[in-house]
Amino acid sequence: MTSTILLAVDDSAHSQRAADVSKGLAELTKYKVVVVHVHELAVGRWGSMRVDDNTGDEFAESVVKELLGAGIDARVETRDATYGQVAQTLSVAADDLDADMVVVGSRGRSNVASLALGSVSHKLLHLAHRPVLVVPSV
Amino acid sequence: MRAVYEGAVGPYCYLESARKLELEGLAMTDQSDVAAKRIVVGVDGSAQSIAALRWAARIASATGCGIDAVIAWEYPAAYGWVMAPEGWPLEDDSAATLQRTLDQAFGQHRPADLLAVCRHGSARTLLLEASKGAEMLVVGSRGHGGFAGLLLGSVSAACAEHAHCPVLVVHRESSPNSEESGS
Repeated sequence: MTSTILLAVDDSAHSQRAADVSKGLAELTKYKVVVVHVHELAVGRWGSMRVDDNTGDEFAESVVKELLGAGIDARVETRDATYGQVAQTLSVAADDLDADMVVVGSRGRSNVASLALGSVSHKLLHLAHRPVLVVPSV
Repeated sequence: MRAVYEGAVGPYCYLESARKLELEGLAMTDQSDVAAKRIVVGVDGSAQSIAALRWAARIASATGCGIDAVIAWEYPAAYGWVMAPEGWPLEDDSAATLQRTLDQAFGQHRPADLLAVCRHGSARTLLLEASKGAEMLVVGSRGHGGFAGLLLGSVSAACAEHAHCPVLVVHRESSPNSEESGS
């Protein structure tokens, strides 16, 4: 069975860097890449509503296109998470996909620019039982 | 395979010291087979660091990188005082731990381009320094800290936050077996 890299993306520059690193790794290791984008849902009295817009989906699609262009087996997978549960959802997705490695940017779209490590990446390091590759944006 | 044991506190300059050793005719082999691209692995003798070494070897073999297995040692200090019996061979102990961990990780099949580095300093400072110019830094999720229930150790957390290169945090269960690491 081909080994799998789970690449977690939002639409940030950090994700672009993580995508670049995943591409480099997958080219050399012949791993396949599943690009996972998580929709955050706010759940309230009248049902649930998506918090994020479609830019993340478009970005995930563009990453897959780039990976396929480089001859890498790649596809998008989108998951829904309740607000604040993105890291948990990614951890579950990694188990479902039996991913060998989870790749994330060090920080996502959080507007706390001073944070060295975003909350999703940080939580994922605690939650995942699988190797997590944290890619800094520099 | 060559080993560089330098006790000095200072910037991470093992390659320079390796070259110095070679110039002095002390290095075990010549430098021609040392890849420029390096994967740095933090080693402390824990099960996680064995997993980290195996993962590093797996990625290094795929990407053509060399491996720097780094162990750091410090005098145990409390309230600014170092209390250590004279002649306590901390450095030798660390070097032995490093070799033992390498044996546990690879047995007879150590990667050819592997540099064992034993240095005085704090693990986080040395590893963060080593991450400059490295292709990847690989660390176990937690090492020898006293709090066994902790999911992410302080050194791993510091590396993930502040390293200059991608950081792979490896958990014990996720160790690829030795057959896989060779492929």
